[in-house]
Amino acid sequence: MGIAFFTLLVLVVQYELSYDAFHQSADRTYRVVEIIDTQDIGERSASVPIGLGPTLKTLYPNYIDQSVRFFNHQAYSHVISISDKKYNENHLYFTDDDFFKVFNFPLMEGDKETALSEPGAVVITKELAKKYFGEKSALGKKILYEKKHYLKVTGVIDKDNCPSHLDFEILVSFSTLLITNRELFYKEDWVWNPCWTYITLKEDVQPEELEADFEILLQDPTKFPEYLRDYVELYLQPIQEIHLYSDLDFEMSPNGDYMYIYIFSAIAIMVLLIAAINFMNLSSVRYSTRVREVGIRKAIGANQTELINQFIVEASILSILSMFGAIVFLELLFTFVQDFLSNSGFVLRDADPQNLFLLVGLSGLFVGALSSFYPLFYLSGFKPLEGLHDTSPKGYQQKRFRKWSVITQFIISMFLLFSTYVAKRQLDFMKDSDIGFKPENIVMIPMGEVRFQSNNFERLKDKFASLPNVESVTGMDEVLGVWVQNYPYTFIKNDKKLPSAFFASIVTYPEVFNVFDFQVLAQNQRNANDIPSREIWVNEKFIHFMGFETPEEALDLKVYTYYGYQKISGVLKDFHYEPIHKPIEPFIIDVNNKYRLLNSFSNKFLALKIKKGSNWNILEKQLELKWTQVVEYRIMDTFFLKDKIEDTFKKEEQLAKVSLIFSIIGVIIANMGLFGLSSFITVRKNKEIAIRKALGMENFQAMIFVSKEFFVLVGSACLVAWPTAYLAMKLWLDNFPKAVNIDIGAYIFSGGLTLLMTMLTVSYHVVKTGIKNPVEDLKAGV
Amino acid sequence: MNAPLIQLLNINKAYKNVDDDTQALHHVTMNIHEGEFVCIMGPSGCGKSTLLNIAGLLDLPTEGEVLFKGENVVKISSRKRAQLRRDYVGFVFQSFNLIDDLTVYENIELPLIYQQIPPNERKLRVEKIMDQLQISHKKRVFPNQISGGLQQRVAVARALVSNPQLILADEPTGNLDSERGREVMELLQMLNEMGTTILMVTHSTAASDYASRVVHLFDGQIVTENLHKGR
Repeated sequence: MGIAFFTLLVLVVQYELSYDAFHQSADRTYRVVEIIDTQDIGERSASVPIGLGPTLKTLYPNYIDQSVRFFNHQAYSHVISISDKKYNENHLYFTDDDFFKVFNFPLMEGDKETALSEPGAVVITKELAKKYFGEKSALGKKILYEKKHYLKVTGVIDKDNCPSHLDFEILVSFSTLLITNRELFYKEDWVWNPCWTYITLKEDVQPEELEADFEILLQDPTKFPEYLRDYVELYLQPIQEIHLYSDLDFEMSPNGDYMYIYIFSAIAIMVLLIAAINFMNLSSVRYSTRVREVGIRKAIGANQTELINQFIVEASILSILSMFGAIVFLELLFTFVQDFLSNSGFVLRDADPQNLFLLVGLSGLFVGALSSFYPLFYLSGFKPLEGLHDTSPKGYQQKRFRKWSVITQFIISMFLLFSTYVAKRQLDFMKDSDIGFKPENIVMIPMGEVRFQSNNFERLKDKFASLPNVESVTGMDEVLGVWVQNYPYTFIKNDKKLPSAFFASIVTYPEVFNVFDFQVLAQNQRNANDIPSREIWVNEKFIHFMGFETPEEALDLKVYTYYGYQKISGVLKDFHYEPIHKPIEPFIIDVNNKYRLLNSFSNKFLALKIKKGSNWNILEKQLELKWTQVVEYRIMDTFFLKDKIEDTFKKEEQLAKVSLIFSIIGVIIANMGLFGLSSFITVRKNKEIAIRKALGMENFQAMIFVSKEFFVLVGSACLVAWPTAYLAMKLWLDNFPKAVNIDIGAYIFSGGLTLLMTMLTVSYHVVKTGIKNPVEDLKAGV
Repeated sequence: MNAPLIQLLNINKAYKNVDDDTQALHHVTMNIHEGEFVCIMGPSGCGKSTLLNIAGLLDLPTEGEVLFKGENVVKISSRKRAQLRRDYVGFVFQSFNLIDDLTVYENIELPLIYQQIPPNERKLRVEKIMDQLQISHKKRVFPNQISGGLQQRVAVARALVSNPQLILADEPTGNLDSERGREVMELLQMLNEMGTTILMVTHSTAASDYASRVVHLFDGQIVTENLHKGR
C-alpha cells in the first residue's frame, strides 16, 4: 500500500516536473516577459506588445533563431460555428508560422511546414477534431470564426503526452489577422501588451547576452512611448521553468507551484518511510519468533554469512511479493486517483509500464532493504546459546528499536495531520475572508466579439435590466475579484504632474456601485447637471501610496484623462479586486458615464446583480431569450462570480485534500504496524498483569496499565512532531499575504486523532489482556 | 471450630480443548476454616492448582458454588472479586512471580497501592514487613539480582504486607533448595500460628508436614483427607 501510494505521488510529481521538456529546443527556448515598474507599482506581465516578437527577430538575428507569438484579443472566448452548431471556445490563439519549429507538439494530420503559414489556416487538437467532426478526418474541413471568417483545418495535434503550460485547443495562423485587419491596427502599439512571445536562441547564445542588449530596443524612440521607456524591463524566462516557477500577471493559464512539488515529494517520502518502518517492524517481530531457529542453525554450524544470505533471499521474496501487491493496488487505485485529481490542476497521467515498474521496483527495493537490514544483522549476529535460551539482553534492544520505529511512524503521521489541519484552516480562512464586497448573486456574462458590434452592449444591458429578478447590470473590462488589467494614469498633486504610472484598475460603468456593495469612505459632491464623463475612484491603499493621511485629503487630487483634468470622485474601502492570495495594491475604478460605445473594447463582461433567492434556472432561460433577441450567432455563457473566486482556491483545496488522504493513509499504515507491536507488548505484559491481578488489580486498571505504554509513545512523538510541523507550516503560511495563526486545534487534532487511532488499534489487545483470566499466565514458568 | 472462610460446594471445572474437554475437578466439596493450614497434594495434573485458583478467587468453576465468608463469589462481578482478593487474600507462587521491572520494595508495596493505602502508611507497612522478614537491606535491588530463597521471601512479604486473612501458596518451596524451603515453610507456619489461614499446594511431603490438614487429590477428586498436628 505504501509503495503504491508513493508511486502514485511520484507519478504526479514527475508529470509536474516534465512540463515543456519535450520540445526539441526546450533548453534554448524562452518566454519574453515585461516588467513595468513605476514608483513601485506597475505590472509583471507574462505577455508583451504585439510588435515585440518580430522586432526582436529583426533586431538580434545573431542571437535569435525563431520567435512565436500567441494572441487571443484578450477575449474570454471565441465563437466557432460548424454548420448550425456554435461553440464558445476559451483556448483559441493566433500564432506565428514558426510554431512547429519552436514547439514539438506532434501532428496527427497535416504538415508542420505549412500548417500555419497561410492566412485562414487553423490547427486544432484531436479532442476538438472529434467534437467538431466525429471520427471523420478533420483535415481540409472549414470552421467559421466569429460568424464571418472561414478557417480551414490544416492540422490536428495530439497533446496527450505533451505536458505544457501552453493551453491552446485552437491555433489560427497569425496572418489571419491581416484578413480581419486587426494586426495593422495593433502592431504599432507598444503600451498594450497582449502577446505571449517565445524565442529560441541560437545554439551558443546565453540569455544574459541578449538581455544585456535589450537596452538598445528599450531606448528606441519609435518603440516604447517616452513616459514608459525608463520603467520597462524585458526578461527571458526559460520555458521549462514557467509551469512551476512563474506567477506573473496575465499568465496564459494558471500555473503550478514548485511549493506543491516539495510538499508532494515530502508526503511521498513520508508515506514510503512509514511503510518501510512498518515492514521493518513486522519483519523484526517475525524474526524474533525465529530466535530459536537461528540458535539451532548456528549450533549445528551455520555461519553469519550463510544466515545473512538466507535472510536476504527471504526478504527479497517478500519484497517482490509486496511489489506485486503494490502493482495490483496501483491498478485498482489509478482511476480513482485520476478522478480525484481531475480539475485540480494536478495530473496523474497513464504511466508507461517501464516507468511504473522502475518506480515500484526502486521503492520496493528501498522498503525491502531497509526493513531487512536491522533484523538481518541483529539475528545473524546472535550467539547460539542466546538463541537457544531465548533470554538474551538483545531482546531489550529489539524492544527499544521497535518502540523507536513506532515513535517515528507516529511523528510522521502526526506531522501530516498537523499540516492537514493548518492547510485546511488556511483554506477556510481565505474562503471565508471578507473580500470587501459580496460576490454572491453576481452573474458574469462574457461578451466575446459581440462587444465590438455597435450598440449591442447597450441593448443587452437594458434588456437584462428589465427582468424583474435582475437588480442591476453593468459592464466591465475584466472580472473584478478575479483578474484585472493595469493602465497608465497621470495624477496631479499640489499642481505638480506626477510621472505616469501603471495602476491595477477596472474599466466599468456607474451601475458598478449597484452591482458591487463597495464601502465609500469619501466622495466629492457634485450637482446633477455636472456629471463628469469619466470618474476615477480609488482605494485606501492608493491614498497611502500618494502620501495622504485621510481619504478626504485625497479628494483634491486631480487626474489627467482623455477628457481633461478632473478631481478624484471618491475613495473606497480596500477590497480584494484580485484573489486573496495577492496583496492589495493601489487600485482604480475607472467609471465611464458617457462615450460607452467608444470604449467598447472594455465591454468584455456584463455583470448582473440578481435578486437573492431568485430561481437561477428560470432566470437563465429568461436571460438567454433576451440574449438571442440581440445576438444570434453566439451562445450565452454565464458564470457566478463567487464560483470563479472559489476556483482560485483549487490548488489549496487540492493540497488540503491530498494531504488529508495521505495523512489518513499514513495513519492507517502506521496503525497496522502498531497493531503488531501492541500484540507484542501486551504478550510481554501478560505475566506482569496476571501477578498484579492476583494482587488486586481490577480489569479496567489492567487496561489503563497496558495503554500507558502507548500513551508514552504518542506523547514522545508529539514532542518531535509538533515543533517540526509548526516550523514547516509557518514557512508555508509565510507565502500568503494574510494567514491564520497556528492554534491549539492543530495540536489537539494531530495529537488527539493519533491517540484515538492508537487506542482503537491497541484496544483489541488491551481489552483482551484486561479481561484475560490471570491463571494462565501465572502458571507460565519464570 | 471456626466458621468456614471458604466453602467449595460441588465444584466442577472443565477446560475446553480442540478435540475434547479436560475435566480438571470433579464434584469437589470442601471447607477451609479460619486459622487452618490446609495442604493439597497429588500428582501433576490432578487439579491442585485449579482448586487453589478457584479458592483464591482467581478462577471460576464451570459448575458449583464458591462461598467466601458466606458470599457466593461465582455470582458477583469480576471487579468485586478483585476487591475481595486484594482485601483478604495473599499469594505465594512457586515461580515467585515478582515483577522484574520493579525493585524489591516496589514489589512488596504493590498490593497496598491497589488497596489505595496512603503513601505514608504504605511506607511504614512495607518497612515493617521487610524488617520482620529480614530483607530490608535488599529494598533497592531488582528481583533478578537476588537469590531464589530471598526472592521467595520477598514474595511472602508481598503476600503478607496487606495483612490478608488467607494466604494461598502454590508450590512455595518448588524452586528452592531444602534449606531455603525449610525457612519459607517456617515462615508460613509462624503466620498460621498468628491466625492467618493458609491453603497450600505442594508435591513435597516435607512441606506438607507443616499443615494441619492434608487433602489428597487424584484425577480432580478428593480421595483422602488427613488431619495433622504439625511439627
